[in-house]
Amino acid sequence: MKGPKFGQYIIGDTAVNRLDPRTKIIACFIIIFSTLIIYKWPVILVNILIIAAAIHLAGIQPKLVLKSIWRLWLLLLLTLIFQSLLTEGKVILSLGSLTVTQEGVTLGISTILRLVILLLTSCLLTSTTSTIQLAAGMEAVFAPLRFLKIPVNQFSMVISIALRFIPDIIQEAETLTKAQKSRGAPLNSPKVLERIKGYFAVLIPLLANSLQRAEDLAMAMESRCYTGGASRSRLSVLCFKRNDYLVLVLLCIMLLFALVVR
Amino acid sequence: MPIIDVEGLTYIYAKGTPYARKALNQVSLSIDQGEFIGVVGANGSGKSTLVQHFNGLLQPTKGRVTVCGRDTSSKEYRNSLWRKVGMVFQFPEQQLFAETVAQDVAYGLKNLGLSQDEINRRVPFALEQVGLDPTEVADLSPLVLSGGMRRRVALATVLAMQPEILVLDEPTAGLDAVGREVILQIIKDLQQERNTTVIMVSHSLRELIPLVDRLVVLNRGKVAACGTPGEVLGCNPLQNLKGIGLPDYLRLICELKERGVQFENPVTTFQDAEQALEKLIKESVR
Repeated sequence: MKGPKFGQYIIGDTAVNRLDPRTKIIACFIIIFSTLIIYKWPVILVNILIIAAAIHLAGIQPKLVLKSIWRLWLLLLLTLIFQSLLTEGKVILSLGSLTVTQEGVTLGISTILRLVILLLTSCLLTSTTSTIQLAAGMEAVFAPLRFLKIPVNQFSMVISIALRFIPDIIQEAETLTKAQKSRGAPLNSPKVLERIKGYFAVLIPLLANSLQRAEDLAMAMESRCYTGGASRSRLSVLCFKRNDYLVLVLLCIMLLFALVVR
Repeated sequence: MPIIDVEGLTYIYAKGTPYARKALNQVSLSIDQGEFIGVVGANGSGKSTLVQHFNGLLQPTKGRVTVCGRDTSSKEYRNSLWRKVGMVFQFPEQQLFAETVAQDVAYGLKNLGLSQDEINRRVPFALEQVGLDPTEVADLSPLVLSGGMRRRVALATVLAMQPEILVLDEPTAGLDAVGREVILQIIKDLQQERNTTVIMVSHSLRELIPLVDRLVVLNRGKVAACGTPGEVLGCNPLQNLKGIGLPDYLRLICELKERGVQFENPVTTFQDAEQALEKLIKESVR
């Protein structure tokens, strides 16, 4: 256990937490979509503003956010270096055959910002939405795909089960690691090959236990007469409130603005 | 000199985050060579956290843990402690991974760097020790054994390493009465014949009382009581042990004490209670 990370669900009652999961999923799609297809500065800045506001409203400590960005420093640095070197344009610095261009630096910075936007958007979604809500939201958002004969309900069930068991599996992996360490598994060995071999002793029982758990779960669901399908009702029905409409309208305006700028 | 010495041990999970939780609070304790120590407490009282300090899996947030005379604050020492301290986790049968029972038992021995001859000697010995027939089970896959037998194999994997100190975290959880008896007998024999220091965590006071030299009662991360079963049960029985669930016969004795019945000898085991009650009945008939 190394403390919470940004992106891990934190129980809370902020304005962002209270939003309907569908709103949040659609909003994320809009932000990601606009970030991915449009390189223009105004769009990037507006997106950053929106995310900063959302992070503030969700009451997430800026320290956590910065830490999660810092974890990607290598990727971000390489992005900047390669964009600066490989873009053609006005040369501002040349080292032998390598040239740094002004366009390259600009493009590098904007790419970094766009990567950060993608990271923060998804982390914000998962840190303010419980897995149950997330699955319900996904199911509702993707519901139209039913007409293409895609079993949306089953997929949503699969996703929610997968999300539900991640913490259990992590905990089990921790226990198994401790147990095998106590039998001298070379998990701290300086030799990489030894270490990988050591982790087999953790992975094999972890896999075996997960299969066993899946079997038990299937049995438990079956014995409670679970049948997938669109006719299943939910305990908590999703419903849009005033804030949801507000957010969606704002983001649609943003999207229009982005398309116009483009 | 005590073999394990714990001084002012405090352990905080996920320190410095909103999820921080104090699992142990100023625990002090010392355990002598060859002692059988029982650790009891309700769920979440810190039992498992405490014993994981003994083989260096956890490092104290505050305080000091000394094992075999050396402080576990050194990372190097912590990483080598598995050679001295055998640890049997809760539901250890879930950690078996090798293709055959024999290979699984040999895993720890290989890590110890023992010769193949020594391994070939120790594996059947350890299996016999836990009451399994080596010729029968050694070449089977652990997966085909019953839960109780897999538990014994898991115990054998640790016993084969012949640790100086054996730590067991609820070794009997989820076993039937016979399986429990077998496991407890193996542990007791080990302590008496090899003079191994044994620390056993359990929910059940009833199974610990006849086995242990001393009991440590944990309550919300603090030592609520520590001493021989007689001392622990005699001093302030109900108040301290409420979260744990006394065995039926001790509840009866406590009820009687509350109603003003005097017992001459301290009552700890079932046999004690039997004798005391018999005496009481005879006296009242007279």
